[in-house]
Amino acid sequence: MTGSKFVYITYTRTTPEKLWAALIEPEFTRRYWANTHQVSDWKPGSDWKIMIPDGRVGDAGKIIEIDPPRRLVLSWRNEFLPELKNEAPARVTYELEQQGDMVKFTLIQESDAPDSKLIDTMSNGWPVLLASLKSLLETGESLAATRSWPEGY
Amino acid sequence: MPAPKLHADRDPDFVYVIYIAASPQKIWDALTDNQTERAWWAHTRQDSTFQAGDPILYRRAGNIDISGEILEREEPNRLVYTFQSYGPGPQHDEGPSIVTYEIQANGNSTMLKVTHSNFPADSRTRKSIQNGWPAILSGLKTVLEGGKAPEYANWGEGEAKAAQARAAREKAAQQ
Repeated sequence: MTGSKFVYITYTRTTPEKLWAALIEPEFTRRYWANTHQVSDWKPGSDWKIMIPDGRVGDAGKIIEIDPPRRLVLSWRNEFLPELKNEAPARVTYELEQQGDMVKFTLIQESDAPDSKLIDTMSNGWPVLLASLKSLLETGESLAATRSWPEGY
Repeated sequence: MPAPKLHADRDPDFVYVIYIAASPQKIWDALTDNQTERAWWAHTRQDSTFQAGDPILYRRAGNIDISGEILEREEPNRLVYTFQSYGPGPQHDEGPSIVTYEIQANGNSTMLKVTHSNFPADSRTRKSIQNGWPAILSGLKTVLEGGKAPEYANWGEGEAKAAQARAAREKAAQQ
């Protein structure tokens, strides 16, 4: 097998529009994504970055494809973990699809690099983040552990 | 009890991790419920004592869907069982796969990790379960956090039809 790939699917009782907003709008992401927010004009080819509460850039890349509220493709490199700085950038795809009263959210994260440490590290982080996003949209409360930036990082 | 035969040439394990705002015991109780047709699990009723060595059957609309055997039980943290499509058919012929639940308290929420393993190469079972688990476990989280079970479009329709067809074949064979 060449390259690395991680796929994660959740179903959330919401609308694609609300889930889309929750993925990119600062007032939502701060509540479940470790108090971070993203900066971009969300146009194809534009820069995109995640800001850590202390002002550092967490991750950054470009908007490869954007079709709200259905599909977003980002190039993604880690900026804050020294051991990941030299890793080949990943490609992250969000797909949103209404199914009954649920929205199927598919996250695909891939890299051309075999045994990508970046994919490995990120794939450990997504499940708790996306579980918290689902809780926030369905119950109004995110998971407590995801509300603040982890100490020491 | 004999361990299930392991395939020499295997498809990769399916692993799904989800975090739920509920206690490990609540998650254990939902996963080992043998009383109700669980709407969040495609209206499947489980028939098992969940004691190691005992059988487990999944029934949907009265028809057996999956059969297996409980291999390990450590309430409320760990359950391991075999999982085999109820025969006859190509998925049944793949033999038993293995499902492991790991349930661990993690601060104010609980981590549930489902590992489904032991698929032959090009497994039909793996193709089916990789779509099923995210829907089932998303529904479990919704229900345990106070919501209504999802009603997915075509929820388990393929499996339900296959179970009906098997039941009809068995009935015809008996006559």
